[in-house]
Amino acid sequence: MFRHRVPVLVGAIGSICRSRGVRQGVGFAAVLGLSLLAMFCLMYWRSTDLLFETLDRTVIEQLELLSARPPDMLPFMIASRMHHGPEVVTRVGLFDGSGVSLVGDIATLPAKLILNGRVQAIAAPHDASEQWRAAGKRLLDGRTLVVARDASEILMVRADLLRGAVFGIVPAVLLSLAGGTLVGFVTEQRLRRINAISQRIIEGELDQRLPERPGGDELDRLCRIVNSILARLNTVIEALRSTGENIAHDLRTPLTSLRARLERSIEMAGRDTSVGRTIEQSLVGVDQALSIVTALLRISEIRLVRRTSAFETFDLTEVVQDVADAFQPVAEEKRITLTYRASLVAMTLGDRQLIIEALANLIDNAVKFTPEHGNVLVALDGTSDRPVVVVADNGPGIPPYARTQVFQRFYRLDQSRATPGSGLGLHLVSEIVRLHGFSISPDDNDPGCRIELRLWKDDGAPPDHGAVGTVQPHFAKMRPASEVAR
Amino acid sequence: MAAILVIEDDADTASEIEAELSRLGHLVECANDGPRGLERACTGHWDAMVVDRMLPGLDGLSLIQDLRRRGIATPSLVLSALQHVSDRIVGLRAGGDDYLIKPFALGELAARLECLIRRPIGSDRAILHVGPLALDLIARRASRGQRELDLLGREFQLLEFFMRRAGQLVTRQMLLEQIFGYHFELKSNLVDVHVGRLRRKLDQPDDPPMLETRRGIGFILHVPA
Repeated sequence: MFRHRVPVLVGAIGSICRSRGVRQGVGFAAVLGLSLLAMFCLMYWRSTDLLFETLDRTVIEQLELLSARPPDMLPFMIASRMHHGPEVVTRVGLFDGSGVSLVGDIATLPAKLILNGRVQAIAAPHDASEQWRAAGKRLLDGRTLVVARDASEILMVRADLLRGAVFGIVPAVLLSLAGGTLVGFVTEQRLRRINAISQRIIEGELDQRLPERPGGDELDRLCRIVNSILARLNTVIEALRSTGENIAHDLRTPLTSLRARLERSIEMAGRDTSVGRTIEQSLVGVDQALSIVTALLRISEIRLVRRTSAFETFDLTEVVQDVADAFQPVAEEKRITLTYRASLVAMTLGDRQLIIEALANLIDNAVKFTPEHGNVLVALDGTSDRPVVVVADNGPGIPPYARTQVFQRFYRLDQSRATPGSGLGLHLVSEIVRLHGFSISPDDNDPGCRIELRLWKDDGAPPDHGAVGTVQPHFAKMRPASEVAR
Repeated sequence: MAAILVIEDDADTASEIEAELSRLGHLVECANDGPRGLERACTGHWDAMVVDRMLPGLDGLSLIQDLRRRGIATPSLVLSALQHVSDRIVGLRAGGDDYLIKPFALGELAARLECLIRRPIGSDRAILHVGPLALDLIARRASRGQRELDLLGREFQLLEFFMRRAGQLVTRQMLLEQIFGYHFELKSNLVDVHVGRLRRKLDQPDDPPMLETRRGIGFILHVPA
């Protein structure tokens, strides 16, 4: 079990390290750590410099003071200093010309001390681990005077400072790393959510909105701006769409009256007269126009209905078989072999009539576009809880560039212009699929077309807002009818 | 000729329906809201009614329910928009009524009213007869004269439907709904193909043709004189 988890963990850590939020956190911690370090260095150098300066000044002052005394008084003064007690940390030594100690608490003349009257750091002659700040000078009578002070305390302060730095900077950097990562992670999550919603908007769900918090930061303000742009866009698109639907609606009444009048005229002229036959031909045209209008209104109703009240759990296997069965004679008329195959028994939750309508349109389309002696396959695949209906044929197929467009309103492929149809069938199917939150995509059957209808929800989204797989953005649906095909 | 009451609040739709039904020789009266429609339905004697689902004052379904409670069984055709199609509307058929989704063709409306006005033939018989045709519903056998007809499942259903409505116009949409169970418009030759197969078995080249196609609307099974 653990072996499985390790790669997952490594992968997770990998993705965390790649994540923008964590990189931001690390960057933040690095900047903070560096500035803390710089601050410490400054403090470290300044404070120890100051201490050394004070110490060195004392050493020089003492040296100057003693060397200015009368030479014969010097040994006595040095000796009397020594009786002041242990608190006197300044050591003084007087040596003769050959370096032998005459008086004082420095036993031997430090070998490394250069007698130039300047302070130098040297090791104590009696204990190499003790650090001294010392200065020495040769007196006029040839003797040597040395003044030294123990610097251990300063070194201890230095060590304390260093320790303090380690105990202060490291936790601060770690804390900022954690804080930065957390802030980055939260931001990252927000961006991800925004990204996911944007993707759905791109797929055509213009009623989706980016998350925004009242007040909020720059990101919230940006989201608010995008949302208001979307609202405006939605209004415009709705206006465009409803214009189309209003036209369809307004055309219906005059077309219906025209049809009725033509019917009456046929009765008056007589069906077998040449006038009667001409009117009958006109009727075919009117019927075609009426059917487009009717289909448009029906699609708009399906889109607006968004009802789930008619949703029920039904036997998908039975429905698919029944529709395939109904189209068997239609295929036979064209000498097309229609094969039905089911690899499972599946129940589906949806509007039974609408699903039948979608299947009937898909199968009818496949039969319509497959040449004589061709093959059409209707198959129920997938799994019981994720059933997929495949409708495949070996007809001319859909070229890759048109695959996302065939679900658009009025889209017809050039090759199918000769076949009667309104270019609304697949669009109707895509609206039904959208209503259910299912997905559909056309693919190559090599040769021919293969359409997969996945009758399960992609992401657990509510049925009204389900993404329609690779189906077009809604914007594209406003294409003019002149572009048309399948 | 039949007396038909049209209860529809949309003036355009009402006048279209009135013109079409008058052309077909029916007597038509219109009411433009629920209460007035209910009053006319109770006081007049009607062969059928056309009732819009959404009416001011009283909705179409409640109106019909009210009539039924008063013991008035005038067959009704309910007009409904798709978004208002509920189980209750689809269930109308059980009560001998029918429904039509807007927008609809006037021919469709007229054919359905015709079906409602004339009771189906031989609803209580096990064997149906129309001219030389005989259909045994129990043994599931069909014949024309001496010739046995070898019919598949849907062809048998189709023939039964035609025979019960012999001499009446049966629309494609009615067949889609009743035989296939498709309650939507389908731009396909599905019904024509199935009826065509039945016709080839029914009308042999030397028989007088019985099953006529009415272009753009449906079919009629003629009863030979």
